[in-house]
Amino acid sequence: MMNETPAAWHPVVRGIHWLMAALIVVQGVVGWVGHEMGRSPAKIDVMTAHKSLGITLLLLVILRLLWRLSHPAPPLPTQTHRWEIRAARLSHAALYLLMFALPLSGWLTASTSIVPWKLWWVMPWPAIAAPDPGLHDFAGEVHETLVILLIAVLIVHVAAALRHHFLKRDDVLLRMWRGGR
Amino acid sequence: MKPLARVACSVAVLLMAPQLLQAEPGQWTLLAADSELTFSAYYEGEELPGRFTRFAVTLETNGETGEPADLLVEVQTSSADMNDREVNAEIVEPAWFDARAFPVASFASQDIQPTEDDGFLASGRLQIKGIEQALEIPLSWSNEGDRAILTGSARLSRLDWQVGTGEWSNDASLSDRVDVRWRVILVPAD
Repeated sequence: MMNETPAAWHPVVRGIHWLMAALIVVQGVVGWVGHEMGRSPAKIDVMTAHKSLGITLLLLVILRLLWRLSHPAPPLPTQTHRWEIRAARLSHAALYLLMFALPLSGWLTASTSIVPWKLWWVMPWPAIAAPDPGLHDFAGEVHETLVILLIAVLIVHVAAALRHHFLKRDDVLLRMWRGGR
Repeated sequence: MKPLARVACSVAVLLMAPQLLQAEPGQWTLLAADSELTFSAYYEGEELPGRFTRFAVTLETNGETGEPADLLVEVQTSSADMNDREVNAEIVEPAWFDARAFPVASFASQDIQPTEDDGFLASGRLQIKGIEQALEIPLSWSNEGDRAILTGSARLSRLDWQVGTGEWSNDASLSDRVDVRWRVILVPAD
């Protein structure tokens, strides 16, 4: 059963896909708002929300990758070109890479600052480095660059899904939305 | 030398002798490289360490006892360093040290008394942001001839000096308590 190729994505995969999609959008907005705020207790709270959501997304992507590695993916439509398969593999690999790299670089940015925070204001969360102004600036720059890359790959991802649905008229989007025809 | 001159010299020496025997008050100054002035703030119970990188200490010892008698500490408020660029940029703002308007915080005491535990208690005034408050700080003083070590610590309430005003004056997150510690090396001023 495990190795049998399914026709559509498992409900767990669909749930985690759309949950993460929504949370990533919220995370981008929260991070941008916090970044633009003047130094204040309110900014510390907004950034604590951003850090907490980032760690939550990191835990979600770990679960998601474990599921993906242990379950076969539904097949691509039969009339898929070779370049399309390559593009899909490359963009999905980039998405996974960025879904790890963004929270990790954010975690490093938070760790190298002295501003304390707890996961969702409750749970102490370990630092992966000691406070260090130079490393903090570097990690912050990396984090912001990764945001630009993520936006670029997400545009490709969404455009590809819409192309499948409206131009190629296949079920690639639908099988992630409601589990197939 | 004529006899009269000899007598005059002897008289002069005799008159000056008491002054020669009575020691001058000792003037001490800071050896900045080996000295530390650090502090700890507390955010939701977590200790946030910091330090001042520029400060001056002058101390006068009693000529007879050699013990501290007069202390002046001057701290450049813009030198506060908490190992975080954003925090360092914030701490000099008007809400905190207001370093542009009040570049120097100071502690001055002319009343330093020995305590039972071989230490000293300096009664003086601590000025931050132009606000002066009476403060007693415990000191330990050890004089090794050409070097002296002055150590001590004090627990301060930052809000007494309006360090952290407005939205930062609520001590629910950032505690009112700030601990200051120092270990400074002093050398004779001359």
